[in-house]
Amino acid sequence: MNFTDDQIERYSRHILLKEVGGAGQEKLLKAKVLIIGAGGLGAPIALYLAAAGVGTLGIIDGDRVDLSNLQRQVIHFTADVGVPKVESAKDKMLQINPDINVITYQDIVYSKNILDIIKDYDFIIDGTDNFSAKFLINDACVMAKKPYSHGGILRFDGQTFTHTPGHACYRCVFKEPPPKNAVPTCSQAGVLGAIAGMLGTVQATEALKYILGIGDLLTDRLLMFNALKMNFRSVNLKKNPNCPICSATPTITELVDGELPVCDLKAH
Amino acid sequence: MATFTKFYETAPVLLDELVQFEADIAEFVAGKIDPVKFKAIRVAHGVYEQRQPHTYMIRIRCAACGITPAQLIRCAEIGQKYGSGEVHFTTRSEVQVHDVLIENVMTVIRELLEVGLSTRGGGGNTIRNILTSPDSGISSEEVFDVDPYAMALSTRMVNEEDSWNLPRKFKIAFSHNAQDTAYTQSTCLGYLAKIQDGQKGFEVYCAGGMGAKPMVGHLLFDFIPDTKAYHVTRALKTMFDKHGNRRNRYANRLKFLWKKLERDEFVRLFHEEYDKIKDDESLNLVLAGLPNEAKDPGIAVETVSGPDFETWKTRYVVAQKQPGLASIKLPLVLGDLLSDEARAICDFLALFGDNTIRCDRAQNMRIRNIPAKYLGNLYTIIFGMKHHLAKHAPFIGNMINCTGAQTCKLGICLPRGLSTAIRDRLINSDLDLDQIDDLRVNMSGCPNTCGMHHIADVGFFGKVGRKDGDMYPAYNVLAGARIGIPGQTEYAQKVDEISAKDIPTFMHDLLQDYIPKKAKYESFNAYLDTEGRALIKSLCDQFRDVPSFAQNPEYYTDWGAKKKLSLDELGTAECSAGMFDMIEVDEKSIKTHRKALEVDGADVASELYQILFAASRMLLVTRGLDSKTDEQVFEHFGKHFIEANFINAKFRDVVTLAKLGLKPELPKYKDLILELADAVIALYKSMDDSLKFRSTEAPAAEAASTLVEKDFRGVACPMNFVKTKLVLDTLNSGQQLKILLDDGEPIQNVPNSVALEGHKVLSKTQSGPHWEVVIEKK
Amino acid sequence: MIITINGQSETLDQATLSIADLLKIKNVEMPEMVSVEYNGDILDRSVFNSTSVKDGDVIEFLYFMGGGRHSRSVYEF
Repeated sequence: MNFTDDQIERYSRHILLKEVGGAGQEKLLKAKVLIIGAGGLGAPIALYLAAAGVGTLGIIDGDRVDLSNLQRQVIHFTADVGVPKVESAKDKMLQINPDINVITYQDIVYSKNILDIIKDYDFIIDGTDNFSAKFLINDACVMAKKPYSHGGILRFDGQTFTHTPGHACYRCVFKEPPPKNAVPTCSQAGVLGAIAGMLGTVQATEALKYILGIGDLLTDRLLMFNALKMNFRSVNLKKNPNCPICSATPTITELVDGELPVCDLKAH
Repeated sequence: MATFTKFYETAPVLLDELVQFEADIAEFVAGKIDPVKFKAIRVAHGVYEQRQPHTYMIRIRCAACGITPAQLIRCAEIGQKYGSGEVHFTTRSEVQVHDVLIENVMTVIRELLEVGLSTRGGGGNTIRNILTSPDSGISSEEVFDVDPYAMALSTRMVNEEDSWNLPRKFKIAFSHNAQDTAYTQSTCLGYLAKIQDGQKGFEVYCAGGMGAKPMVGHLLFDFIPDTKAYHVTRALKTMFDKHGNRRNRYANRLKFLWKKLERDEFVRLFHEEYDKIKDDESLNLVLAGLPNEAKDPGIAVETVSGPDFETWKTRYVVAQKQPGLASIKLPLVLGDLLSDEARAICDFLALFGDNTIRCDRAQNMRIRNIPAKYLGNLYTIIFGMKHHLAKHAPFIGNMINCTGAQTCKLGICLPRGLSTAIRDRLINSDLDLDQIDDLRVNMSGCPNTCGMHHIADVGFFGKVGRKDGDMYPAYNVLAGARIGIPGQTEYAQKVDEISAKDIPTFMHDLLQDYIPKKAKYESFNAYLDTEGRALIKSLCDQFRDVPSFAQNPEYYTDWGAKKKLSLDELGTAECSAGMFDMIEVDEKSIKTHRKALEVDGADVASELYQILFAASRMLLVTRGLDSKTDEQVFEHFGKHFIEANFINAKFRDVVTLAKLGLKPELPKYKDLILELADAVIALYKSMDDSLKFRSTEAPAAEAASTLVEKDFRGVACPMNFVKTKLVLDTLNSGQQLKILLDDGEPIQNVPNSVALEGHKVLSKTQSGPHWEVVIEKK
Repeated sequence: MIITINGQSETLDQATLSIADLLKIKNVEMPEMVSVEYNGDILDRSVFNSTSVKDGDVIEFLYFMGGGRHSRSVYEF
């Protein structure tokens, strides 16, 4: 590939890495990654992947920027309040790197659209904050044999793992969404803003590693951290032979939409 | 010399140098001087080769931006007789004559000298033209007139021999008030007029500069009394001469010395020189300004009336601080003044005295000291001329562009063509351009900053765009320079890029948005910050998709170009030609003749003589020695290198043999001669970047032959390694790559980094000021 | 007995207890929000009562994360 002088300079710190080099940067520029949710997790993911020169970035979110988002969703600025999140995000992504292509979907993922959207992407990142979406994304990616990164944050904690075909999926760990009455009302869901950055950058790193084919992914491992103690650990996971979606004899064969708490639609 | 008005005095050193230059030209024409050496000599005389081989451009010093009508007439005549039929006003407030053939160069220089004009320091590693605010001496807003300082300092500088062989060019500017219209914070040494406790003086900035790596100047003195301007200049020049980098042409401006030393050490070294001379009042400049006063020739007053005349007055005429006098701006088309039109206007201006013309950085002509009652006469003359822009709003003539690929060997794009295309687009629109006469739109054809894109509100500099393997002319778009607040200068930053063909529409659309909103914003920068920058981005976005060559070949031919964009004619920089080029010539010659020596049937005596000659001459230039004859070369070498103990005394006899012309004796001393050549090369290698001597070091190994060669000289760490990696990516395992690296950090880092990635570094050879490294791909 | 919970060794006084009991004594207020990994395998919620904890077991409480509130930090390592 012929890099332009600007590209050589822009990506020089990647090219310098033995594990990346010109060939790796070329892979990044050719890669397509879908970010589901332009919120707390989506913000650092979108910015870092844009900066890294991931050539095509899809970003999907149905919301508009709200003042209460700005405490952690660093891709949106005060002047963006009221603007569709995907538009605000695209604007910043192109500012950080005009070299890439950003595709926006001002929508939420649901059973009827998700397979069609993810089919064009090499890697999917879950940056949502509700269980319905998380299970839907898992099921769709397993069905479509797409790798994806799961992420969740709450209060001072975060968790993430990476699924690739043949490895443990979300349902291997969490068989089904928690009962509706167990999910506390969203008004009480506080989160320390910087946690989103901590976890989102881990997810972005996983996407980059996957595209580059380097290192060990968080497959069959759940990485968890608590920021108050600033303690990180990972727990090994096993693929569940009786998993309702990824086992040899799945019981779930088509996608269904879960019921969403009204305000839970808002991504982190 | 005859007595007539001049902006600087040229005697006597310059005259001696010209005799030498004339001899050098003759030798060059006769094929006796290497073109590289000749280049280093001629550019310092303001003689640049244009893209067309053997055609030269001659740059003429205009101290304080000034030139008299008689002098400008002479330039116009020269342009008519020997050049392109015009005088060109440059972005550094001086004039040039283009398209001069080598055989006429000396005639031109002598004819210029007759009217007190010099080309010395027009280019090369010299003290360049010293600039001032173009309305200094007549502006009611000035702190005081700075022209006399620039004029006196020019006279002093052109008469100092060490002004012509500095590590790199050295630019000086004086601004008459904080508006900083001479851009003192974007130059090597800048003086900003200031009055403190009733004393005239200057705020002094240094080590600024634009170019591909722009730096804003640093405050050197908050205040110096005006009597110290020479002392500061002298000290900084000496310091630069001593410590500046002479080895790497890409990092040798004063700004790089600042960067390398950082403030404390830079200032300390400066004061080492300054403290030696600062109290010597005999060094004070003898100020010699020209009076700005009315001279009434008593000619018939032409009365002109009507709206066109009134519009012109509003746009281009400013009352001077001298009551009753007017200054007038004459906007030129791309800085070009046709020779016959120059004569017409200068004949008229001469009636009003010698102090009536200035050049400005927007390549326009400034006229001053005209009694207001004669404005009608001037109007008639100007509008009798064809080639000017006075019928348009000032914005049109204020756009700045460098000459670009039209004549410059470095140019990628043709900003003259672009400027013309923008102008045509805008004057045929219904935009109210009179609203934006202070908006700076500047463009350069390449990353060098001759078109001053860094100090623009909207700036462009040329680049190559590529689509499906085809190259098209494109520009980087910059915006938002902040000029005119002392100490807070900021350069324009890159916003986006755009194809050359789309820029006229881009400019139109941008101005269409900005002009109606102008009143709402405090400044263009405020507009940019709020919405303009976003608009620029979205406009560039709109033009991002360039049609393929098959779809629209026009995109691939630059404005004003006759054929598709090509880089085949790009040359090396003219203006930085210097010492190392001359040293390289001899170093290469040693290698060539060494090889020739190995060939069967070689004329051994003659080859050895050539080696001995090249080895002896190679470093003379570092001692400031110039030798006319072979004999002198050997004599100088004996005296300045062997007697001075830089080179072992055992070589004395063989040098003497050569000096006596006893070539047939030389084969007996073959080994000794080759050893001498090695010793000279080793000595050169041991010199530091300012080409002073250090202790000797071991010579390096021989270079292997390679398949692929890349020149990464001037590419800093880690970009040199980045580029090396990218080239290695394209090679097959076992294939070899030869790269050229600068000394210092690059040679210390790159080979090791390459080895860490598993490739084999086969050799590292120092070759002149750089290294050749051969790598085998893993 | 000594078991490992969430990577940390703990000594329990009880001689016998089920996973459900363990969730209680570890003050997990909303067991619905927890998956339990027992010696490397995820336990079906239906066996929380019938699975007894024994000496040397390695147990991980894996929490749902991505909405809702917990009374205390979910991962206190």
